[in-house]
Amino acid sequence: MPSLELPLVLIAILAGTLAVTSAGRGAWVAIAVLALSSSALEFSVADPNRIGLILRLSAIGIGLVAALPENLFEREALRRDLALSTLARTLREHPVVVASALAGLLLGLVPLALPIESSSDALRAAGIALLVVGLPPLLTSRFIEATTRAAVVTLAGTMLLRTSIFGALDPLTAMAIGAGFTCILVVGGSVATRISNAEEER
Amino acid sequence: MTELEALTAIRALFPTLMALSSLALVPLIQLWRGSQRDDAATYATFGVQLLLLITSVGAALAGAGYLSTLKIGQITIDPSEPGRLLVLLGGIVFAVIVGAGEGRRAGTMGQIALFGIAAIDLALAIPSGIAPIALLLFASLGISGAAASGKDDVGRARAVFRDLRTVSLLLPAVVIAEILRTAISYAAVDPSTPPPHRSPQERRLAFRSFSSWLQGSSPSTAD
Repeated sequence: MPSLELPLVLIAILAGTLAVTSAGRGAWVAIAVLALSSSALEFSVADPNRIGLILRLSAIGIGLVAALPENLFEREALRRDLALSTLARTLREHPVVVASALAGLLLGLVPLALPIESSSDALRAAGIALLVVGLPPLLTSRFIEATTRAAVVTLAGTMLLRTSIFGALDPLTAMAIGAGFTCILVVGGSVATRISNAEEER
Repeated sequence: MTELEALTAIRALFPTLMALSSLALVPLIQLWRGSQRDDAATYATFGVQLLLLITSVGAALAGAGYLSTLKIGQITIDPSEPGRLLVLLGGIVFAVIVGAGEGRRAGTMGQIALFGIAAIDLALAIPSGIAPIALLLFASLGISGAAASGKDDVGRARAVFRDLRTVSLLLPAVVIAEILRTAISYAAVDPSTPPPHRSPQERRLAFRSFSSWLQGSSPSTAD
């Protein structure tokens, strides 16, 4: 697992950045990738007791199924939106978010100035980077889908930061946080649909 | 699962089970009454009122003793006396409020009351950590989302959106508070509190050295 930790950290940060900067298909696929990578970091895959990982993945899976917009899986559109050139252009168009992610990563690698005995550097860096990327759109965005995705990125970052200091969550807390991910995605999806329907009628 | 374990699970999770059963009861009533929508709403309100009263009585009977403590592996759900008292009183009060309420959505409001009571009982039954806080925050978001559902009211939808933003900000704040609370010991702010990370052996040694100092001899570190 330690050999996989750094690639997973980089994938999680990149997915979190794309989740708040892209629109439509790219953002939802990035959220799914973020969910997979951050869950794998939070609950060690090597741990024989994988109940936390299973709970988290199933909770986010249910939330994503409920929140995903229609026509997401059109092959041609998906290929176009997920092309490397499109993703690179999206990141180039949002230099502040990319710079925030890098700053968060570097900030997270510096040991905390707190009398905490132990803390995993990689997890702390990923957690702080995702918090730095997710919090600004969560506070300021007017778009409901973007705010929902920012909420998922922030919550994933918070949980990684917590895991870096206290270790993996116990099953009951994992269940509560998993329910929280589902709740955010389902409520966000439902509110977005209702408001867009009302605006179309108007 | 043995018979005793099943009974303990029912006792520990009684308000939650009642709230979940309302999810089946209301659609069954609507299916039974068919096209008579007003009639179905009245029956649904009665049904939910009945569930609220059953929750109240059931929680009082189940109580908060060792018989109601559920243990599944590492998970412990230990109903608390304040939680059970709240269910007892809340069930009766909300049954009266739902009865006094009029309209087709009185049953939905009763269901929301059932889930609210169950969430508080469950949060108080979880010993410690971030789980009860997360449960209360996300239950409040889910309940406000459910209360605003079924209506094409943009104002309500925007209010739920604000709730989503608030809850999503509160949980990171709680986690950061938890980290800071762990990092800063009580001893730093309150001189009367002993440092939390001292082992029993260290405390015993400190006490012995203090006693020896009082008696004017050096302490022994044998044990």
